[in-house]
Amino acid sequence: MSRARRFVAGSGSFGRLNRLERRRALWAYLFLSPNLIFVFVFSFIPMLIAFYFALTKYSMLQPPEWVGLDNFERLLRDRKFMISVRNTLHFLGIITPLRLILGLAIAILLDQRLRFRAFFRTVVFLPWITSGVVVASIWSWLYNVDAGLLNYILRVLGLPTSYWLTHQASAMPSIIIAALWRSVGWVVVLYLAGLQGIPTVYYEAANIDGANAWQRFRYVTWPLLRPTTLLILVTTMIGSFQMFDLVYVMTSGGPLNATTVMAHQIYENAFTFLKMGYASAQALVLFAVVASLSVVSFRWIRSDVG
Amino acid sequence: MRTALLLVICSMLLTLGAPAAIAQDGVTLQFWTRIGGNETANNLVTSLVDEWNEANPDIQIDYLGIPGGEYRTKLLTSIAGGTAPDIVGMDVAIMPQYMGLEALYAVDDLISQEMRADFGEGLWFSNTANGQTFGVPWWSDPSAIFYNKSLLEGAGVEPPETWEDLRNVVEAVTQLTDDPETEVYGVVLPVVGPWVMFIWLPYLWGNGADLVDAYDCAAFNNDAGIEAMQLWVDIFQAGQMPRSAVFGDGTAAITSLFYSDRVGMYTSGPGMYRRALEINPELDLGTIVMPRPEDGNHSAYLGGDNLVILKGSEHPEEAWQFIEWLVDAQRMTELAEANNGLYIAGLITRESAFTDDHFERYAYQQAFAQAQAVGRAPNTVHLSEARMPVWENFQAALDGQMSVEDAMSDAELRVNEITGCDA
Repeated sequence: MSRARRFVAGSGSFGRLNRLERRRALWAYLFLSPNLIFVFVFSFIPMLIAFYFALTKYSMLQPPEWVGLDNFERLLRDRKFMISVRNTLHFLGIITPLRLILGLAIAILLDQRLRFRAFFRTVVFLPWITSGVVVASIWSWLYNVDAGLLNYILRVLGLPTSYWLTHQASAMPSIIIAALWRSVGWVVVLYLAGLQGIPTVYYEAANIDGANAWQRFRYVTWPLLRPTTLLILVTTMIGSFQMFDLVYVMTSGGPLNATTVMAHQIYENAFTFLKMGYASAQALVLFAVVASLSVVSFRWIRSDVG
Repeated sequence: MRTALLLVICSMLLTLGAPAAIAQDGVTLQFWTRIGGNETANNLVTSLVDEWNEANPDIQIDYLGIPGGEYRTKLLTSIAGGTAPDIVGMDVAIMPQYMGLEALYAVDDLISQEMRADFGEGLWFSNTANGQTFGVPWWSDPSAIFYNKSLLEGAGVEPPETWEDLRNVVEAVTQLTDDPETEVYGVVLPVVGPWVMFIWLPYLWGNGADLVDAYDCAAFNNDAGIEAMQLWVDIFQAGQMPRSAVFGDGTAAITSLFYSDRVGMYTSGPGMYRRALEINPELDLGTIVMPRPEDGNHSAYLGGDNLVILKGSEHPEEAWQFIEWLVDAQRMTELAEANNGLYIAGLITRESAFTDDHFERYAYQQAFAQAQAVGRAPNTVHLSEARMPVWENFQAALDGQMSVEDAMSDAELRVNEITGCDA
């Protein structure tokens, strides 16, 4: 391992580097500094402030008032917050495998020599760069019980129509479908990059050994896509915990709290009920969950890749 | 090189340190509204501000129209961050929170008797807390019912005056067709998000109940409240109201049903009239005030904006001068005339600003003016949070998961817990 790499990896120390390496490291930090300052000012400092707010009663219109751990105690008795945790896990549990399977399947398809391949790749990726509010509005129209396209098609086909967003049982699956449509393009792009990074010699060797298509996928593609899969898994989990825009626009957490998620509860407490202290406590719980999951996942990735 | 860098840094620091805008030998006040997304209304306010700025070089107004969806968050974060505006066109729905948390400047000493007497009681109610006044009604958005004349005539019914009439009218209109492709509904009574407050509360008030009483204790779990909820439950469960109005998949989708001749009656504010006719010029619209219980009163929710001065303002006197100028009766009249009878995004608030022939020329506004005279806005600091249990239990009752009585009892307990009522 080079000295510079040791330094970056944390196993070396700045003092042990020679003058040239020190100079290079300083330049590296100089170039990193705009981003580091941004993260420090807009993420790290607000996070520290949120720790303080979580221990206060704070409406944003009056100075914070110290209440100790009251907000956390209240969290345990908050039925709606518990429902939002359950709904978030429900969302996460269903969208994660769907996103992986569908994303990989489309990526494999778009990795073939197809006509208009670039066009299809663009089409698949488009929803990802579309604003969440726009996506939510489009799907709200599609799902509309009385005037929506989906129920119209079902009627034309002679099939029973659905309540979509207007029933407790179908509201969350409807949101998951919209979220999947929006995000699968991003997974496809990552998997495409992963697929194109697999050296063709492995496939040639597998062909010589007489491997069929499934065996090539099972023993070559899938293991070599493992780092990509883990990256998608981690980011999907983090993204699912932060899910907000679709819920806010499409259902406001209803019907009967069937789609309220943690981020929606945090927003509602902070900006609708003016309970920034309590919302900060909820945000810290969310932060702890996401941070723990991230640490575990990245260790897993490191051990797997390393 | 070093000198050049130094110069760049110095000029950046100077730019950052300089106040955004200072009127020469005077003050510059920040004025924010929530109508940034309404192009017509926003242009009207911009031209008003330009007119003021030209006539008042010593008190300059820096205007910002914020789109409705971003308004609350931006306002709150600006207050928390110490960069709040001086004057705000404040949504009456959030007035109680801001008054209760002492974020507004009391203006009792600045208001003349003449000005006070020119506003109706309902409008004024949303400006007051603990015996103090914190703002002036600017434009109002009273809720009343738009009805589709063709559908009601087709069903052979007259617009409803009472709750019993309402039941009959929605039944008759719903029976116009049973084709699921073109199904017609009698009425939309939305239970989507905050709408339940805007539209159901007047039914509650008209029957003599309320969300909370003067002690912030739930005041709806009684015969009057149960009747008001039962009315909506009966209409919904008879299939006379679209499901999307109750369980919410977007307000735009609900209005589209009304615009396309598939709903007999729809509750909204005066601003909807023009929008509806822009989308469907063939729509034959009538307006009525919300129906009353057989032995009760008409009522309405008075939305809209009040002009308030935030407590952090260093120039409340100058801010008041601008507010007084904005709500001048003559100016209201002229502006409404120039905008097809609409004032900013709703109705004129000063009684003396209505001309003698206003309702002859803008007949649809008659019902809204009547609503303005009998309506009000809820005035509890807990409104945002206290409405949630009512909304949730309302949905449960409509869906048949709870009886109306159980829904009310449970909501009462939860509302009292939120407000801290220990009755």
